[in-house]
Amino acid sequence: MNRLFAATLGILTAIGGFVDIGDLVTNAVVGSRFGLSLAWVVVVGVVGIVLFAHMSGKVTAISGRGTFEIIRERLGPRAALVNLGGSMALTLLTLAAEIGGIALALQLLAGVAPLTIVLPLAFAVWWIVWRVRFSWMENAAGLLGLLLVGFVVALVALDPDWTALGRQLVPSVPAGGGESGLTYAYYAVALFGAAMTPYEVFFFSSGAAEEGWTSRDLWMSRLNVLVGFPLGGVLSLAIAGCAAVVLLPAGIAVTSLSQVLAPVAVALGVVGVVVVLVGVVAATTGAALETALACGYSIAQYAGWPWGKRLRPVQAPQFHVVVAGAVALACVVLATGVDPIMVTEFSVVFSAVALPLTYFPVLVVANDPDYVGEHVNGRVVNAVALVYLVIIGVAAVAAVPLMVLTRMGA
Amino acid sequence: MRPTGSGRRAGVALAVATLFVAAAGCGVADDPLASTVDELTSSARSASLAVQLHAEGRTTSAAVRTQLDDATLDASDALRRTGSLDVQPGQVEPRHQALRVGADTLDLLHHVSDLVRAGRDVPRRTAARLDDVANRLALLSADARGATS
Amino acid sequence: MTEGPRHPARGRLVDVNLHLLDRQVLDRDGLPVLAVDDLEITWPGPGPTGRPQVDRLLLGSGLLTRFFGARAPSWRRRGVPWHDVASIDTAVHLAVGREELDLLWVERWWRDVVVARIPGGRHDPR
Repeated sequence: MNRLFAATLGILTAIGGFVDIGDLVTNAVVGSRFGLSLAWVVVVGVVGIVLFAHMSGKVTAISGRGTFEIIRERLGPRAALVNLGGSMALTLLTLAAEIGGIALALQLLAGVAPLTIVLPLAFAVWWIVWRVRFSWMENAAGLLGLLLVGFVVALVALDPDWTALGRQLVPSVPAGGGESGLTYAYYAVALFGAAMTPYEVFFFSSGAAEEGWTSRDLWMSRLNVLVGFPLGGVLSLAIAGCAAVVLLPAGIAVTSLSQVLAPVAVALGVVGVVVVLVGVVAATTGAALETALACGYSIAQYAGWPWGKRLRPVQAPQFHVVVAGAVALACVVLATGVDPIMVTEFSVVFSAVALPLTYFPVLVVANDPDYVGEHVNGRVVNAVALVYLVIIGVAAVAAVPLMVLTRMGA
Repeated sequence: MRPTGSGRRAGVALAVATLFVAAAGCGVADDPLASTVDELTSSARSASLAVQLHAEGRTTSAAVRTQLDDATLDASDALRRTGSLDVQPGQVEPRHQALRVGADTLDLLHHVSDLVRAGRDVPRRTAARLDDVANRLALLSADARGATS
Repeated sequence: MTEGPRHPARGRLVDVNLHLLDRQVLDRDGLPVLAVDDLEITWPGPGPTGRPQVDRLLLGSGLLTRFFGARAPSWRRRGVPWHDVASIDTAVHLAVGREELDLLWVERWWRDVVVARIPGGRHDPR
């Protein structure tokens, strides 16, 4: 049981990265329109984030340097500022979407009108960052978020034709459904970008410092990435699978959270729906905390300020001001009445800029003995990481044209 | 290390992006009328599923209400867009029919939402009508695709 | 490692661009103190040969001078004397504590005016 608690940082990071509100809906959209033919993208994304999260966690644990400090050192302050701008835009919009997402999940549970509870929810998110111990936050959000395993249970309970599902795994555009190669490519890029969003790496590596990991704790970093992210990937695939089994044959294309839950209702009834919704609330809250903290970590590390929840707020004042400011800005975004889920799909554009500028410095530094001593990357890890840099580069270049051409996947 | 030749790299990136866009432009994009009619179909089927779940008590009533509201919003949006599309000559009649059936669907969705919000059961006849309009819309979308190929 | 210019003084060769600029600065207790923005060099230097010597490290985030070039006006230049630098590895370590540094006045302003006034600001999270 202790080992499970030791992995909660990885689980929480993965939850914020794979089953936050945007991904919950996107995975269901993909399942309802493409079946499981995009599942390979999730697998590719999981391997990539496992690699890079561990590298960044390793660097921070051994050298004490935060990921954004390294980005500033390697790229210089101007290029790092471009990265910061792009990452901040993405992370802030995601934070807004998460807070909106908590409200949407509560609407499905209890019928509360989302706009009325945005402010109390935002305040609660801020208060947790301000006051609650990092490990409590990790454990609560991470473990309750695991209730999303209800999607796996639902998929099994639906008793689908597993061979037919298996045949869907072959990458191809489903025929006759009105989907084109372009929309397929758009969702492939969107799913990949969602799996490898930079804030996961900022949060995980800074979380390593919050937990006080040192060079003797690298096994914990490995445990966390190898438990958390594949778990996140399995949950993503289960959500897509449920949509593929129930919604795709019915011709229902997912556009909102309410439809994401429908397969669970079909399979498990109202008890399943309530359990999964509690999981959604927990996962979305975890993602809100992750993105709010990631805003604080990146800006504070870029500027050289003290940062971290392990310090008293008076010891890291600008860090806490940034987090509070980010939450406030997120509320402003939500107050415009914009659809929070549409916001996350749009923010994929900004991750296109931030992805290569984040992962390249991390890879360079993970090979530098000044930072990691004897724990430099092995040759296999480097080879795979280089392949991923190419994939990231292609995704970064393709994201904006695809978004424009497909009108965001319509 | 500091990035050098960043201008050159930006140029390469731009060239690749342009190539990509050009190649993608040759790809197959879906017919707009069929797309919007598919959205109407999807809304109708989503509402039908919600009504079914509601009748069987398999989900929270808040979820049913929200799903119906979302379906109504989507249908209304899709109907509006169907009306403002430029269509090819062979698609004028399909579009006209889609607008008619779509308007019926939207009325039906409003009616069902009102029933659920008032806490009343949705009669089986009404639920069957939802399925019926969904099927008709699906046929129309196939027609629209056929008219352009 | 490429050969630098011949120099009679002994010691470690540090590349300003690679090892100094934009590095995190840590105080005597390992707490963060901004980043190295720029160097101030006196030339001719004070020694008998008059060789240029590093006078101060200028701290900040490096943005303004990198974007606009030239030198920041003296009131904006927040510096740490070179003799306060204790060691250089992946960060620049100072021999003084951050409480003794005047240049952190912005952080102190945020701390005293905003954060300390919010309930729980001094609370130890552990």
